[in-house]
Amino acid sequence: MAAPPPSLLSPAAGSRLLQAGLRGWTGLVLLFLYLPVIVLAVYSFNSARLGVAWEGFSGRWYAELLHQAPLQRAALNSLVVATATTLLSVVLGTSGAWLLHRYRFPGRDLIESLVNLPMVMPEILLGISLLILFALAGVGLGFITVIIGHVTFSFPFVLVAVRARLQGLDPALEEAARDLGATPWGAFRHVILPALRPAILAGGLMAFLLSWDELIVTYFTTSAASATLPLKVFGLAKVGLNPVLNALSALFLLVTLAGVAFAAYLRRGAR
Amino acid sequence: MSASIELDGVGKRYGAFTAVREVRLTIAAGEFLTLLGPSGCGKTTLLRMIAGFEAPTTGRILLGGEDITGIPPHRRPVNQVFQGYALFPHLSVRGNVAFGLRMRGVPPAELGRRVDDALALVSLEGLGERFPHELSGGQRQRVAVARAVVCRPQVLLLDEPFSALDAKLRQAMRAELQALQRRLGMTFVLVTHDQDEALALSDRIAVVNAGALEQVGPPREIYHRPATDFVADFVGHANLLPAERIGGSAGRIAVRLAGGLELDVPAERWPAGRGATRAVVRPEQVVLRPWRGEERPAGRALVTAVEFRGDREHLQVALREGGGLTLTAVHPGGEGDAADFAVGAEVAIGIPADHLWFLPGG
Repeated sequence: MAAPPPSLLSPAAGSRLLQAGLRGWTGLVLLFLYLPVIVLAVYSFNSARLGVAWEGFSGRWYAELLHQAPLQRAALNSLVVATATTLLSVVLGTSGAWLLHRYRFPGRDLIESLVNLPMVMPEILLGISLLILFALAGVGLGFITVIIGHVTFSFPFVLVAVRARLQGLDPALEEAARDLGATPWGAFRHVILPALRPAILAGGLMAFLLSWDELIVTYFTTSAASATLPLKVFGLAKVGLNPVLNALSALFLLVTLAGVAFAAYLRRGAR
Repeated sequence: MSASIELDGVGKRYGAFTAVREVRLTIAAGEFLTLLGPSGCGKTTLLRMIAGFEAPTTGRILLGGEDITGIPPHRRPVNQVFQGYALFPHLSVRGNVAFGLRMRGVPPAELGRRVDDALALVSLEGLGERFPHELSGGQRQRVAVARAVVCRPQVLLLDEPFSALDAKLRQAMRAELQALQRRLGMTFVLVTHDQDEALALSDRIAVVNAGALEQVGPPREIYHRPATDFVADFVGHANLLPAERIGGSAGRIAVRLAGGLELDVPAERWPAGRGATRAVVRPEQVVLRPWRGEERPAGRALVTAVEFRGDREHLQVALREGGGLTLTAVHPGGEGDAADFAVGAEVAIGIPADHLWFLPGG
């Protein structure tokens, strides 16, 4: 073995330096990621109407939100769309995962890989193709089309989460339930479904968050009446930056963070 | 005793592979029967067909005289203790034990009482609110047993129930299970690859090999009077020595074993009408003495290996005559005579003629 090259630093001091360097780098990356968000949250409390100069702490933009009916309407739309998307994704994702896990049928492998595609497909492509589809089918754009669009890319996330959980499940559990007098449906309902609950909740939450901040697919599939909050914010921001938007975005962020935290908590519980 | 289970020509094929071939077996009510065999011999498939998880390709399965072949598992009065126990992780011990009763719509008052009784039966009172992940291996097994017997099945199936336990605990749980079976008087069908387990627990053992029954009988019969090579070799250790009939008179038959040993054996132990077969010599039947020169040369052998096991030692001895034939012998592992039975020592071999068994099939 070759002798280690002579170094000015002892090995211990070298590893300390490396550690400090890595820590600093991690800090920089995190700062880069979160600084804009922090600035936005802070400026939502700036009393200045124009410009970036700090003119004092104020909650007036939050108060003003209460008088913005179109924004409230859009927030409600977002909630409706996200809730419907979540419910549909959970049903589709869970039953799809069960189908792929439990049954062998021709075309199964193909379906399994196709089902994951919407997760990585460019949203603009998904949006345009959905628009064309709805136009061809003569379906008028509105809540239904937005929800269909959102479910398309959301339910695979539920499916993947549930599938992973199913693969970790003892296959004898279902047989034990059958052995103890449960019908096939009873075994699913009383044994498999409870075991899947953490995965279903985590996947459903993921679907909710994806739908909640989705912009591009919504843009292609919505009517004016069903416009969601991100779409509204996008439209307003094009006209000009506005402190009310800062306040709105900060609130929006809060909902998202709460969701992410809840999902992380569930995932820990699932282990 | 009335028949509990009747396997009437039950067979199972998977494509070109035959897992079980036309098994005929009657299990009496209240009997403890063990399906013993190596892994992949079809014993688990047989159990799964009784439980209803697999449909036989041929034959019928009767339970208490009734054909249950086409009945799905949830409507069979049969319950199983699964290999890994398969306890429901989201349910407490009580929830697990109550599951079968709830599925059958037993009213709450009766359900509570029966769950209490079942928990008492396996000494788990006070642990009802625990969850499976909070229990030890032995406790989990008890929950699995309680969960199955609480439904009062006509037959309890047990699939390698001790394989998840360590050796010490295995012994204790074995004794408990046997006591439980006696107390309940329930028919037990156990699947195992462990011959010790089978010998210790069963009323009868069915030895399974390559999808067929090799021999069915009480443990002592299986051990002392094996019907085939496979049984002789799989259950316990056996020295199979070629044996030849050289004469006979008055209920006894004169036999010469490979290696030159000549014995007069009881006629009933020799397969009728055969001139030659093989003797099953169990290691503990081989009697060893230090060689002092007075015996006939036939009984002379050389110790080639010694394996000390504490309470006994296993010796390999090569017969002087017989073309290098080697026998395994068991000898008490006392301290005093260690030098007489060390590697390289000459020993005299004796085999008591009255308890020697000869394979009927040759």
